[in-house]
Amino acid sequence: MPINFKDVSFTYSYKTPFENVALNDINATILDKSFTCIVGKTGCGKSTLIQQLNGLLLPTKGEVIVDEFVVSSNRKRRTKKLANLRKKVGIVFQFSENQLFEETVLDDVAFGPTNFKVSKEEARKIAKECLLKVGIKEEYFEKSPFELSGGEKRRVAIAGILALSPSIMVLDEPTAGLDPEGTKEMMELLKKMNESGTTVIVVTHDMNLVLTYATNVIVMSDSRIVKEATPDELFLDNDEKYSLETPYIAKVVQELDKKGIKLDTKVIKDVKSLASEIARKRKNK
Amino acid sequence: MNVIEANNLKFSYDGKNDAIKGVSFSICSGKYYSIIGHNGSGKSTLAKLLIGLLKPSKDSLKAFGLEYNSKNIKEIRRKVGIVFQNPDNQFIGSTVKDDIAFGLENRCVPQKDMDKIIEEYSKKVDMFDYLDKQPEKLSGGQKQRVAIAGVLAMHPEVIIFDEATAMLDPKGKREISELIKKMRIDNPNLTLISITHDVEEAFNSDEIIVMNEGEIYMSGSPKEILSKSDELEKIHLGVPFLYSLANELNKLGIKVDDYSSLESLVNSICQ
Repeated sequence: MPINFKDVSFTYSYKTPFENVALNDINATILDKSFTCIVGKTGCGKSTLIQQLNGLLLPTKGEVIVDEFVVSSNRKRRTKKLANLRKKVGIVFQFSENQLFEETVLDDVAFGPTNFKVSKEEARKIAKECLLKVGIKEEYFEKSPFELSGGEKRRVAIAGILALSPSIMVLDEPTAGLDPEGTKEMMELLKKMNESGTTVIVVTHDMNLVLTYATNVIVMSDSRIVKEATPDELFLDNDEKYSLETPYIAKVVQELDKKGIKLDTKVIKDVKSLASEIARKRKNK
Repeated sequence: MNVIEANNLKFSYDGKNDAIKGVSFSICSGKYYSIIGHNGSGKSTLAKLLIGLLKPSKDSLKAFGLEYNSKNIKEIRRKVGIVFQNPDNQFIGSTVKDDIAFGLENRCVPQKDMDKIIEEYSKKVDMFDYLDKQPEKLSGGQKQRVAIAGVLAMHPEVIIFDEATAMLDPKGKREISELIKKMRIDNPNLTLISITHDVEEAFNSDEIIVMNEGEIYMSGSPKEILSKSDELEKIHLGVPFLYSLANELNKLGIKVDDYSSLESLVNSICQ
């Protein structure tokens, strides 16, 4: 099910002297089963946008439609029970490791399902599966979450959301603060989830990751959406830059282009595919 | 002149396993250092030792010739400032202005000077227009810039950035690195220690110290470290993009010798 934003505006402290417009007339569709990245500079409204997805924030104007759910501040339009929507749309916030609280890793992950009338035993079974899925080994299950490293904690937090088996996973800067190895593991995990049918929505500043992993990109600027595109349209075929950082790969493609070497941007996703495309081009020359 | 000296510095959180396993190094005045390493390599522990949040063993760490003990810690912290990773943990004031003023008030800076100082440093980090804003109105990156302004306003001799740019967007990161450049020109004696795992960022510094498993794995100028990029890969640190592309091309039989810049790499491809 796609997600539709219809004329969505959001103002913090609405109708007070501290009004602060964070979203301004957003119209967009996030495709079903896509790997969508939301990009834009700090303060442009990305985090506010994703909080509309499960009704943590209700749009000041307009509405967000997720499947049969309507998120709106209009009481007549709004779906009555947003709890079910929150099961469907799992949001992992920035620095999610700070949200862990249970005594053991396993209990922390099992906490979510027990809130949805799942028996404790069943919840622990689900928790085990989810922990293994995110690459947390069995010997960690009975440890305190606070004994884990930052990257491990974050994976436990993700398992906690996975345990609700959401069909849409939303992550706010999941790789911030992770080392390159941890970043790669995180993105590969999300890719795997996406391939098994979950819609993945990621807020990030790392354009290199966007180029490699995303199927769709939403560019935000000053509370508005300024562009919806695929990564190769955005970085490789387009001269407009929306003041985004150029991924390293795109820089190489552009420099080679200036020298008259035109690469097929459709096949380039990462360093490996870039290298083999360069090799192919050189052979044909 | 060495501002900080570590001599067989060890630290353990639980008394059993050493997080820092006896490292020795010296930090020279006016230089820009990067300490890199993967998550859990001991870099943040090192930062906390350097600012005196964790207590080093006797005779193993000195700043400005002073031992890290309760008698000297005030003096050391006056000279060594730190900017942490998570801006929410270091925002104290109720507005941007109050937050920058906090440290100045502690040092009894007169009100009339304070306003001038706050103006100067908030402009430096591009937050002048936000002086009356509350922290909840700011994004993470904006809060971090305020934190940096607060530290800069104290005129420390050493500033430690503990992954301080990890949460900033690319523009924010660039602004901070521009700011660092400007600061170093303004005050050539200012010493900077940046703890990061952004390898590309580390290559802007004068010297890189690579940490692994609580030990110094290697250290040297960015150029020296770059020439050992395969070593970085071994300890799960990212390698600079140009190196990894050159490496992939070499595997495919395209010889790229010079990958020191994008231009030189592209030129070798075109040959």
